Amino acid sequence: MSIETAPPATEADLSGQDPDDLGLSRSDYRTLFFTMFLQREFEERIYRLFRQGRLAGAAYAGAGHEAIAAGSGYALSKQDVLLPMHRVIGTHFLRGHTPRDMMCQYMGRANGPTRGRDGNMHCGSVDKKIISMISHLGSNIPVAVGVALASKIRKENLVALTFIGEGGTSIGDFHEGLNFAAVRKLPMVLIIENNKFAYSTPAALEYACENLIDRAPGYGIPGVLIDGTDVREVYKATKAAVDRARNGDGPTLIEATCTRLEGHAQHDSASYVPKEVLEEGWKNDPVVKAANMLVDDQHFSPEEIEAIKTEVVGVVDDAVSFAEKSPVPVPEDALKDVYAD
Amino acid sequence: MHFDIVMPKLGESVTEGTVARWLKEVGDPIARDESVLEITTDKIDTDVPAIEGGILSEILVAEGTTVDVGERLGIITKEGEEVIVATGETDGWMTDEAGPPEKDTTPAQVPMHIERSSNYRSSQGRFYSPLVRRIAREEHIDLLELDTIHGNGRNGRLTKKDLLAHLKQRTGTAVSSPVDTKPVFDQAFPRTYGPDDADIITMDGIRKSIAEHMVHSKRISPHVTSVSEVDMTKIVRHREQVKEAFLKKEGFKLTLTPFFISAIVDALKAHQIMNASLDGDKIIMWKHVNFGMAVGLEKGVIVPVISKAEDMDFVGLARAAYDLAKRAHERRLLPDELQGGTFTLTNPGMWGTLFGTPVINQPEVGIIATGAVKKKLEVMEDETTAIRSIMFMSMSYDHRLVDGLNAARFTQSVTQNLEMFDFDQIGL
Amino acid sequence: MKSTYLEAISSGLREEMARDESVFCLGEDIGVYGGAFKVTDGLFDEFGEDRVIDTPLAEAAIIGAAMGSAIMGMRPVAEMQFADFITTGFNQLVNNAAKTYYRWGAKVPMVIRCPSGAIGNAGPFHSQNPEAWFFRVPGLKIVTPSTPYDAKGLLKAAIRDNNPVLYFEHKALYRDKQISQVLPDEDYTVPIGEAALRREGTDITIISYGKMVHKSLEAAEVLSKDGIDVEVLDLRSLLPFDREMILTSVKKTSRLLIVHEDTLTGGIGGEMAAIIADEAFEYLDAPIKRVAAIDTPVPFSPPLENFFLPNTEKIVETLRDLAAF
Repeated sequence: MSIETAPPATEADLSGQDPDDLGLSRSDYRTLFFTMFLQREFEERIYRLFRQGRLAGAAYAGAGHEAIAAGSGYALSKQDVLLPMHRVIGTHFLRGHTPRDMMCQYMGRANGPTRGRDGNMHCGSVDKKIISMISHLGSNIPVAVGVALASKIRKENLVALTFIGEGGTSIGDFHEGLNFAAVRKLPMVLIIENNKFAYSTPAALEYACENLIDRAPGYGIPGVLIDGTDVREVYKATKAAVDRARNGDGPTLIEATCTRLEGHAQHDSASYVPKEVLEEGWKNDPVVKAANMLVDDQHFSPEEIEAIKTEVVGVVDDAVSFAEKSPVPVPEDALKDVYAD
Repeated sequence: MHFDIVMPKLGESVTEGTVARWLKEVGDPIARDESVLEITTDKIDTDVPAIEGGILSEILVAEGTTVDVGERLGIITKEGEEVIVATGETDGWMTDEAGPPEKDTTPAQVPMHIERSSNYRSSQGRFYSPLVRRIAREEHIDLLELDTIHGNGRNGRLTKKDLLAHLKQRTGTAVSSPVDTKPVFDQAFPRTYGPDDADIITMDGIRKSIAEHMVHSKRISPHVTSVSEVDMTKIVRHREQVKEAFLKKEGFKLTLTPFFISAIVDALKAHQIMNASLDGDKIIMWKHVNFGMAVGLEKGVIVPVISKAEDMDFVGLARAAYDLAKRAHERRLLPDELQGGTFTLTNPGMWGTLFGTPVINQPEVGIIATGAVKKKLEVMEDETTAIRSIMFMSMSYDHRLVDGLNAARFTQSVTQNLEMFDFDQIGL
Repeated sequence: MKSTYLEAISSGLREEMARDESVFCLGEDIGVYGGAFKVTDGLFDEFGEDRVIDTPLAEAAIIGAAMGSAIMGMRPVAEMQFADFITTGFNQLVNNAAKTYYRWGAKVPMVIRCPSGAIGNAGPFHSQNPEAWFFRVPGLKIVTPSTPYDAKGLLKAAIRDNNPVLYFEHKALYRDKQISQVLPDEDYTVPIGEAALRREGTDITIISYGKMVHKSLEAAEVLSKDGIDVEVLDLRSLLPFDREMILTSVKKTSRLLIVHEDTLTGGIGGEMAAIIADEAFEYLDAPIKRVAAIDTPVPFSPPLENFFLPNTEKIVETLRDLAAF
């Protein structure tokens, strides 16, 4: 794996080993784990850079969401469209945004995906089929609907995958978008990342039903509740939903539970999270679980795991030094590209 | 090689942080990314990891001290080659080792600012719109000339139409000679000076206006000044007698000014050439006497105008003069009241001046300056001597239009009107 | 055969949909019903349910979906049933669609048709002219045709433009026989950003758009009887707007009146006045005046609404004032 590129989305790799019950091979598992550990290491590095005064703005780590990111992103095919949220940077890596790209993005460099015009996870790419999020969470859902609508009109067979936090399900766009997709049976998959806290607001203050997928029948669509810390479960559920959408059967609502292992952002100490919740969360660390699963079930040796980790650290080191050497934008460029030709 | 430890910016609204605890002492070795100190901020308490490994060579901020984001907290020293690092000087996180990419170096078009040294707010107070000012500047019409053009806009405003019509009619320009075209403020100063030699004050608008007006007037009108002597004794005495009753009846003080105005207005009726103007080679015989009285303010002299003075009786003139002077001091004159004058009176005698050479108030052709009234020993007609109140009256006139003969006749009229004043006019 | 303003919009839409299969419509009641004002009447039968989509009552979903489909290369023409309802999709428009190309380079070729303006007794929520809210959003374009010719040409231009375009169609002009025109058979567009000189004059310039262009022309006629020659400029596009033509006209006449049906404070007239005061200061012989609706919600009852709205008489009065300055 070259240091500049992240592992791209692949169909199940049939070389070397027979695919398992999920259609995944050893090489797929390696990619999944690499992606999860890359998300963890990259974001820990981002937080460290902040504390060293080498970054400014804000960062919202997805520690605890790594399985959701890797598992769901891996279920997409090349022609599908990704509309990620901020705690699933792993999906960016799977779709072709390299660690160098994302570090330049965080550092506001002229060669980053937004050329310094927006920060942290607010980036996208037309050719990588990643549609950028904005700060108004939930606004991505109607856009995903539009992507799916275009696919249906043009009979293109592509699927739109997007995300929302359990907090974000409260906003009107969630309802409007999901409803529209359901009525028209559009090829969309919506994953709720339920990490129990929306900034400081606990789930009990966010919604009154038992589980958010209780709403799914209200929209006339299937709802699937899964353990978001289990990368295989995430992959399986997402793949099923993607296939269903591609078949023309309409959208699926997936609720993936996990725990937010850090604060809301690098400036938030998360003192409002009860200690037990956090302890339980760390016990279920998806990255650790994935490593164990690789060793226990997929015939990886502990040395191989360590080697992957070392490689990831090297990749992130490279991204940091590359980005810090990259040029800053020319000030007058702020005036350009308000309109497309 | 030295690396700064800086106070990080850990949140959008965080502007400062406190050093809570140094985890290392000066001289201790530190590994890269190892925590060096703990800090507290509004939003979060955390540690600061070292950017590079080395020795903690300096602690700059003590425990318990609060500093701004970006401030240097300490220094790590490392032996060896140059490494990229953020410093506290720049906005730390955006260090740009490579420098920005190739800039487009074509210089931007810098808009030219054209100096407008003339102030087009007339010393008479009339407003000129930006458009009118621009046309005037381009056509070399100075403020004086603008002031003379009649305005058909609201409140007598000079509109573009009025100005363009005026331009059409103009024969010969006001700037006929090279000397005339030289701007007032562009003369070379014959010596060098600096703040040690003098306090240098920039002229304000009114001052500039007056300056331009005076230079212009002297350029255009060949000034001749003639001086006469006026026996003011009767007026002085009469005024003494009636001034209290006048104040009681009319509500304001009776000064010598209305006597002067009344006398001059009557003389102007009889010698209309003195109540005229020159427009190129045309003599404009004004139908009304719009009498200007110069009022000296701290900022400069202004000349409010009593319109249609020929229709007013003595008390009316006195009242108008009092009212205008009062409002002039209060700066409450209306634009209409500062234009359209046909003759001007100035009274330096108030401050003891005997006689002078007043400057004509364009576009008029005459101006009278009344001097101080002084008790003198005079030889009378019958060759007796008496103590009389005598005043010099200086008149400057424009010799383009007025010859000595007319001037003399006119001043003789004024003198007679004063010396033979009909006190019944006062009505007391 | 003359076309009405409404017929011009319909035919423009129909022609673009026939010409380019990536063009499709979405909105409330536009398909089977043919639209609240019948602008989309017949399109459903002609182009099918895949390209004329009856959406749920959900402006944020409509605008967001338009944006998503546009990023994927389609050219959606979304309809807000009344321009007043655009506020329920405001965020999708100003924070999502408008900022997308600037931030990450994805083109968003979408059009939002907004039936706007007062039609009489329609009340505060069916009569507004909301263009000022969007005038200050970089990344959006705004057009406001006042004639059938421009309605068709600007709609086509908007559909072919690669940016989000707000298309304000004035409801009161839809079936106004007095402005009906014979339209060219051949394909044509009206460039976005170009104003049109509706009446040449020398004494006063009126800048206006939408229905007020016609009121301005009426007022100009009245003034001509007094010997005052008024020039009337139809902006046609508000963002970008034709700076050059405005400045040229003001430099010629030196007196400017801005007329819009939108309310006075914060209406775009203020911005135009500021620009002219800055760039044409030395050409002004009088202060810049505006005639606009009063600063209130649109009232329902006729005497109130009439007082609220600008009209020919108010324009005439202000013109006379301006002429006498």
